[in-house]
Amino acid sequence: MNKFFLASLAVFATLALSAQETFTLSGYVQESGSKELLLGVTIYTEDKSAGTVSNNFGYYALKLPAGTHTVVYNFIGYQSVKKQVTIAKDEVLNIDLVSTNNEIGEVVVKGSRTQQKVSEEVQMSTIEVPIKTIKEIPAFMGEKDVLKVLQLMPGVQSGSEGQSGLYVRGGGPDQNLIILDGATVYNAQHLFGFFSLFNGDALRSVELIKGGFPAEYGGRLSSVIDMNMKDGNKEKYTGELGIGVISSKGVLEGPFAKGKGSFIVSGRRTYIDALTQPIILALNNGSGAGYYFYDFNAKANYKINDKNRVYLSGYFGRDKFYVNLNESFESQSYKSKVNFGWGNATSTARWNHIVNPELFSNTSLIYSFYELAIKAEEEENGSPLFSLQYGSGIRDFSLKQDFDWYANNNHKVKFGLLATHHTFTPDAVVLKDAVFGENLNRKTEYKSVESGLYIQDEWKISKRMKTLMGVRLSTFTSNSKTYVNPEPRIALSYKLQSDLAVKASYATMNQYVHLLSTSGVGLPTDLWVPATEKVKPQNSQQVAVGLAKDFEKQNFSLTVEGYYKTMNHIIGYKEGASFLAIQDGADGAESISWEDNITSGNGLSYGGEVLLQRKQGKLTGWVGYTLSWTTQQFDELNNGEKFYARYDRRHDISVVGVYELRDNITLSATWVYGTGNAITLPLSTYELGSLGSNQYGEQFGFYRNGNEYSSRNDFRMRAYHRADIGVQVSKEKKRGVRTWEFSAYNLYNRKNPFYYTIGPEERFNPDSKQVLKQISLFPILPSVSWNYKFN
Amino acid sequence: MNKLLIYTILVISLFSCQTVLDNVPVPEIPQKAVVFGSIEEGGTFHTLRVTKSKPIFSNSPSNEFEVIPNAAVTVTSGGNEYVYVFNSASQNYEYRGVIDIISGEASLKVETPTLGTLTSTVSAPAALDGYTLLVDSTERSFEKEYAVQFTLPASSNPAYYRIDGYVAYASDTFSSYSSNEYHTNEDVLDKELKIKTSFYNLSNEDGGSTDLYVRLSSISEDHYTYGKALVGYEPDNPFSEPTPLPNNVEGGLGIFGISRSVVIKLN
Repeated sequence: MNKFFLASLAVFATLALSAQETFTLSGYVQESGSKELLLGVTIYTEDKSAGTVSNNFGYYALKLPAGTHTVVYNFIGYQSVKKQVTIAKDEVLNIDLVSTNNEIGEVVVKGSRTQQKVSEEVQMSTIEVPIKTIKEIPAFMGEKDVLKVLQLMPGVQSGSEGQSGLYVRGGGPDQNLIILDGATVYNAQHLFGFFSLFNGDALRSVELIKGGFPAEYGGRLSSVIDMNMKDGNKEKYTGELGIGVISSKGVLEGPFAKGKGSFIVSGRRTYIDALTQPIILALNNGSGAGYYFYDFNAKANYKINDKNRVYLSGYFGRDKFYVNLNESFESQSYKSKVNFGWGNATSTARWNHIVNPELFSNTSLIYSFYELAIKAEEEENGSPLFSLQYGSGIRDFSLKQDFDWYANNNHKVKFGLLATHHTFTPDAVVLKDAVFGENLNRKTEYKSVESGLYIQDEWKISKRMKTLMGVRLSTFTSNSKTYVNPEPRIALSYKLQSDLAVKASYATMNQYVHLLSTSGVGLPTDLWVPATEKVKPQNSQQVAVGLAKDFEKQNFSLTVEGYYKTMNHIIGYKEGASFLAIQDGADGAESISWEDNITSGNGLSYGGEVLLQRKQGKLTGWVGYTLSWTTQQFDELNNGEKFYARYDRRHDISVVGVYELRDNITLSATWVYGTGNAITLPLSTYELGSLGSNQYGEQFGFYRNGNEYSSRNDFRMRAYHRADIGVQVSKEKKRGVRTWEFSAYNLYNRKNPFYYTIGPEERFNPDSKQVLKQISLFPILPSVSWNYKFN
Repeated sequence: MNKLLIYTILVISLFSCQTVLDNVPVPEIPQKAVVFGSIEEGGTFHTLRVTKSKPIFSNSPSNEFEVIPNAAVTVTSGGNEYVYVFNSASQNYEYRGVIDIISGEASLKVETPTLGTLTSTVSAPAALDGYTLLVDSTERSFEKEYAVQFTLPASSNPAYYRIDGYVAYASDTFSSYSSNEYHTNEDVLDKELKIKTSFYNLSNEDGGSTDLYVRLSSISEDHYTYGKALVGYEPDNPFSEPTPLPNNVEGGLGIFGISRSVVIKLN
């Protein structure tokens, strides 16, 4: 481990010496009009002797010798800019790029970091989805969903019908690091996973990394989903309103302080309950029930001077079920109220500082919070009978410091530190029972500190070969147990031709937080807990190789990748384990240590992915195919035999197309296919007995059925496939653009399996023959939405 | 909380689409004999139930299982053999008399006509002595609540317990009204174990008297593991991992156990 860092420091020193012979041209690249900073802009001299790419904050630095140079700024979706510069000292040059978009009134940041040629990128296993595409692809009930679009990419699967959870290269949904402006989001789902927290309105970029992880990322085994919010329009006030079948939303952005700062706020809320609640209450004597969710994003940024910018962003979202019961008879009255809610809150304060033209600093203070809260109250004749408050959750405070060092044109070094203080609260109960006199006040809490120190270098070794190599040292301390793990990372790219590259990568990842889930669907009651002395951190090692080919004339790119990933100390639940006693501790049931209900094992996932993508032109979209195997082995499960993971999916196909029929009409369609999930089927049933008799000699007790099962997960559900279509029709209005969207989910009404069950052939005759039944959830679902963008 | 959400999803799915899947090739599994029963040490009446498993997709109603009435059921301990007799009224195998557990172990053998021979050997559970009992009661208009606490002496050996309760009506009929609760001293070895629970005696609207009993049993480890597994057992929950239940019967399925109980009348 020490050798890694000594070697890195030696490289560091060498770079420092060689950096002194040239001058630095630096500055920000932003979109003309909105002044949104542009990430991933390619900047190079016309003679191709030097080149660089703008960073996550739109900043670039290019080392040039003294003299006159023509510098080109190039970004897909924008007009290229050429500037002639004379270099005699360090110079600052900020550039505005004009969008080439010809859609009516579209003011969306279109470009992205990886929209340069795929054969130019050294990083592999990385997908960036343009926000515009997220808004064009037909969506479930018309609700645009970032995570569901990512599920259309090769190597990424959904768990089951309608779910937003991501299964990336054989890893479960707990193994994805989802970050929004640097803050971790722990439960990125509304309504049991049918909708995600992110609808794209306030987002600038979404990037998914499945392998070859840069050293700046850590903490999860299988993927990083890095999302950044827009900064807000610095020139004028703009906004958007949308009304859909499920929810309504709004966005407002604009400048302040004479353009030195800008802000953006967006919100979304379901409204069915708001419309129906008054009617329900009136018809039921004040009793009623409902459900809603809402999201709220906000961000503000301010340019203090040429070297300093500050940002403040936040997200707050919540789901809530509620039931109110009012009963009265003669002089007696009874009231009951149950609120069941869960949600996330994140906040990020950032300071960008240009230390010198070669060194860019980003300092972040980050807060992230997820909680589940249940409140139940009963009263009789105005007197309280019973009240229960139950909560669980996780709270993080983080400090993050990153440096981008443009040492020279062949080395772009990034280094930094992330330190996070976690507070895990698996359960907190306050119970007051006036009838039985039972009071309970209990809270289980774990505190831990996680850190990651990293250094990485994007090194252009030669004209043909590039590498992104680095190391991350991660640590985790909880209850006097400390884990220290070095995580080497390397990615290599070698250009066989100008538009064809072969790539390879290796990455070690460690995960110190575990998600306890007793169900196959993502429930808000799933608990985040830390690694402990008994339950070790999870660890993965992944190797990937691939080819990347650009077809420039046709605007296509093709990537083919193979991967092999081992996972160690993954957690599973001992057979017979139940977490209900933990969560139902309010009634005095015996408290069970979750650590004793956990068992650990190993996982293996390998396969191949193909992605053919077109990003420009009237017809855009992609075709993705994945062939993969995912197995697990636990000594305490399935008699120690290896078995397929529930989400092992042999074949996965996605076809996505967006066609601009005219300037104001866009057609879109998707088709997905996936091999069925692996499940465990009961094969026989038998009578269970009660093992007791009373003093009078009679054996009594309930009799239930027990099941004998096949080997774990050795039965396949039917294949899943579905087509969705959508059409968007826009019209320019006096003050903006109005768009109607019509879409249909599951166009040909395929009965896709949600789960299997065994029950009587005749639904209401329990004595009829037992058969296997498939439960399907969603038939063809049309939806319509109305949007208005005002300028 | 998990149950609330699971049931919500299941309710939603009631309004979804059900498709019967015909001709699905499902692996076959041999039919097995199933035995459940326990010896009450010091007791004079012991029962065992022997049935057959059946394929999951069968024509018979889901809750009906064929009893095996002509098996040879014997329990041996320390060289003594105890032969059970089938009672056609109760459909159970019964032994009336004391079964002496010698050398701390008893073995079961069930020879069935067509499903082979089942065997099981279990160790006697920890002795149930030296305990103290506290009982407190609260009278309400509709019921009487009894709070019960057993305190068991410290032990360095793991021990397993079940506590349950039942009512006996004046007409000599009985019903169990409380679920079994299972406890162990594994986490408090060398310390006292406190077992607390509550029982409720509902008022008898007919005015007849009822007797309320609490029973504390020291049970064998397999019996404890089985009882705990039943607590969260949801075989019909499509969203949880299927859980094979514990089984200590060779050649078949089921649980054979030994228990030592004290029964205390509360009222």
